[in-house]
Amino acid sequence: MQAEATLAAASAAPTYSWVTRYGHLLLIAPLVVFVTAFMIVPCAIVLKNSFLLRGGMGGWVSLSNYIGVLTDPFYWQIIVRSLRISALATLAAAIVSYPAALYIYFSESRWRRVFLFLVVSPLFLSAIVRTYGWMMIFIPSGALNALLPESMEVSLMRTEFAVTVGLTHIYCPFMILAINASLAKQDKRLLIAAASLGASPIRIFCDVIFPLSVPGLVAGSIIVFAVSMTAFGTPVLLGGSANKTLAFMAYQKNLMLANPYEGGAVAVILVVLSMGVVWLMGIWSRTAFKRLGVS
Amino acid sequence: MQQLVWHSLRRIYAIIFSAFVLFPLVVILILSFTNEGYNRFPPASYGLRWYREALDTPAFVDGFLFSLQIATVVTLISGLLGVAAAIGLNRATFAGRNFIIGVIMVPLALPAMVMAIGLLQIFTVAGIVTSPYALAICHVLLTVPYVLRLTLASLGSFNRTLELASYSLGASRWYTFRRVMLPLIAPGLAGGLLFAFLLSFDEVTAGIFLSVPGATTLPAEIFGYAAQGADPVVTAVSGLMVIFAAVLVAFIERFFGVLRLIADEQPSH
Repeated sequence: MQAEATLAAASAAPTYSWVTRYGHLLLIAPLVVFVTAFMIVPCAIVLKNSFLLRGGMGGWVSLSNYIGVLTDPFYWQIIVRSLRISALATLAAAIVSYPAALYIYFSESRWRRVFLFLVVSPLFLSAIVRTYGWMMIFIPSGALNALLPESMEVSLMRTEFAVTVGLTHIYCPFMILAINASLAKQDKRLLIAAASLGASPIRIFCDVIFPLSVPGLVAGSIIVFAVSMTAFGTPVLLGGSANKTLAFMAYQKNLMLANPYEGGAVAVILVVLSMGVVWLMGIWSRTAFKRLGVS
Repeated sequence: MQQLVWHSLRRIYAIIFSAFVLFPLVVILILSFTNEGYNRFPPASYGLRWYREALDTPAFVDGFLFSLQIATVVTLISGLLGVAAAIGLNRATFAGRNFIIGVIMVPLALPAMVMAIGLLQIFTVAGIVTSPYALAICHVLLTVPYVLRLTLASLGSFNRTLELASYSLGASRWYTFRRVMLPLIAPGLAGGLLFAFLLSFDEVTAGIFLSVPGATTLPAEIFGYAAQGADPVVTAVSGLMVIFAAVLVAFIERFFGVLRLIADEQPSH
């Protein structure tokens, strides 16, 4: 009691009162000012520019940049391609990562940690280097054709397939970590209980393990889809200009053509599309969780 | 019997998956030692020719040094802003607290590209060169959420009475921060700073959008060369990056624990 009274007196000491009351605001202020000045203002300017016309027509709010993009069949081809590549990369990442996460969850050997270590350590390597590795695999004189018999040689460089494989490889660690995080929370005694009640291994997987891993699958899919939609270096290097994505167009319009108006509209559409799909996945998953009885 | 089949299937998959994960990195390492004038797998002869060439190319050496500088400055600014805000937010009870945290976390969801485009437009209008200023700013925005989150997490588990005890014994705020708070939040803070450094050093998109000739990050430099086509000198630089990352991972594993940093897994056994 005595000690608590002293502590209370100390924290309420008059010399500290001003700092105690407002000190935390002073500590928070620099970061808030920084974020406002360098994130909120720039994003607002991108949004504003997207509603302006090119060349001296400023001041007139216009939807023509958006109309121009959304009525152009060339842009639609790019939008559909971006969605298709991201969806396929997400699906592929889920398919290849799921058994890997199961291995991490079930294995009790010392190789488990080695495997987990191997899976996450590429995250310490720049994505551009991992992309370059896939370039070296897909180029005509690359590693893939060296492994294939001469009659089966393929030219996969600058294809959507190459982009999808690259994105899958670069982002699958996120998927594994997400699935692993949702499985790791589960008590393994659940499985013993299910087995002791006579459930077959397949039944245990379908009725116990899989439903419990769905939140992780959804979380992983949201991450992989969002980062695939906005990835820039990988689609440019592996897809080339024949397979432009929305991110490529945003780069081209803003930097190479110095058109912040149409470029702003492309950037806004990119964000709205990727966030929109993520939002739909969130809604869909909540109903799915309810049906599966997990949260 | 069935158990054994499942067991070996799982193990075989783990091996195949590891091969998939490491495949591009191994290809880079093998190809980087070619002695030929072009990328052909497998190389007809081996040597250090392209490594020498890479170290003689100013673009790559300068890019590496520039990336190191940017990452250092970004870590410092991110650390100062993030830790100060975390200490302030930890104790704050005002209404907008969660809103502020939410806004600071936005860069985790907002594409780096959009922030880079916004900064590019502002800096162009203001007539200021985007690199290093806009680039460092963009990297701070991208990294500060990690610093804030990890510091907040370790402050959350920090017992307030220790701080009050220090005050009651006559210590000043600064002394209490240095001798009581800092040592207690050090592990979380170190993780956040390490993360910030690596993220900034490896970051590609903002680097490409905001770099200017003469002040280009190494990932942006690699992108620029690779976009022109496969060049053995890029393979050698990539090989150096793989080796650098491997050394870094070994270092982090030794002193920090890779899995603790990324997978939030405590070292066991």
